[in-house]
Amino acid sequence: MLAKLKTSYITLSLVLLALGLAFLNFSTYRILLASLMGIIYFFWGVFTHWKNNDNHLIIVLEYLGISLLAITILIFISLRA
Amino acid sequence: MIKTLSHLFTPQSSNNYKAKTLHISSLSIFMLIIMISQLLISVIGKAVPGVLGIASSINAGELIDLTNQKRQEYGLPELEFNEVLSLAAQQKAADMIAQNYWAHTSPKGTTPWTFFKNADYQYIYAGENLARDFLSSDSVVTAWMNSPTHKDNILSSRYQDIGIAVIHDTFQGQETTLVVQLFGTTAGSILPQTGKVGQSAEAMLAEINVQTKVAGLKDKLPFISSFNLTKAVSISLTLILLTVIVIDSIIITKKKIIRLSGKGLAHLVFLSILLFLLFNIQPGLIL
Repeated sequence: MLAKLKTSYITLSLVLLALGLAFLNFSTYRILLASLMGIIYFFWGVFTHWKNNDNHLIIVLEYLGISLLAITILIFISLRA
Repeated sequence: MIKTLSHLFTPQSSNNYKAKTLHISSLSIFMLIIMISQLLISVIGKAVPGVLGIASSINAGELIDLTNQKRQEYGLPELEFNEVLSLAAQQKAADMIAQNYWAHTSPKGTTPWTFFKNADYQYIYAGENLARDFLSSDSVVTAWMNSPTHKDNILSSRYQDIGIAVIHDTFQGQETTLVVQLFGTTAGSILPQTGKVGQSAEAMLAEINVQTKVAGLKDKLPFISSFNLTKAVSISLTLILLTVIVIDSIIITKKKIIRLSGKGLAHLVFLSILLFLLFNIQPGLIL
């Protein structure tokens, strides 16, 4: 269980880091990459809780809120950059 | 006051054992703050020109030197500075500012090649690189080298000449620096239209550099960088969220409170990466 959780966190970190590095280096695709990061995080959260059988609307909304906030921040900074 | 802060930042019965800052309503307020701040930046930028913008130290001579350095690294001959091509670049930059567009082709359908022809540069090969909002010449060339199409232009063995325009002006609502880099190879003799016929390439480049420096004088520089302002607001909000998540997670673990919530560690990872991106993002767009 703990090993599975570790793998899940490591996968999330690596995917987000890869997208993050692409975000910094490829300015043309920043908006797309920012959206992708938010969407991946949201679905990772929903999927992880669904696997643990503790998915509830309040949890889904929490992931949605944090993902949307991050996307908003990254899109606006990209537009100013 | 303490009660309010505690309600906002720590899990307790009043906030259903989850810091109020982490509730969906607070996250929505954060999003609203970001949007309102951006709206204000745009409105102030348009209402009071010269207050917001990007202050850069980009210089035409440096850009040519850096471009030639990259070519030398790849064993290619240096590009020759061409005054006619530079005039074409200046006309292109002026057209983008006048018609308020950021593209290789203007809204009226004017292609980059039109500016080559208007300056009477009879090309057999031609290329264009654009950049805006960068802070230094080095960052412009690095961004171009990171983009395959722009890199192809810089490292093309077909080109012999280079022309450049670095313009500091108000563009699309904010003070910024616009760079137009043109490449070309002539089919035959070049007949410039303007009175620059007798002027040497060195003199022309010196003139462009002087113009760049004059336009970049401190009194013309924007008072506040809109990019840095956005960055500061974004970093502050992300730091607040990260701090609250850490405090919330520590208290929940210590008090062994069971509640319906997302994974604090996952939020921590995600927001830390967001913070890393915000600290490392550099301004500048290429086309």
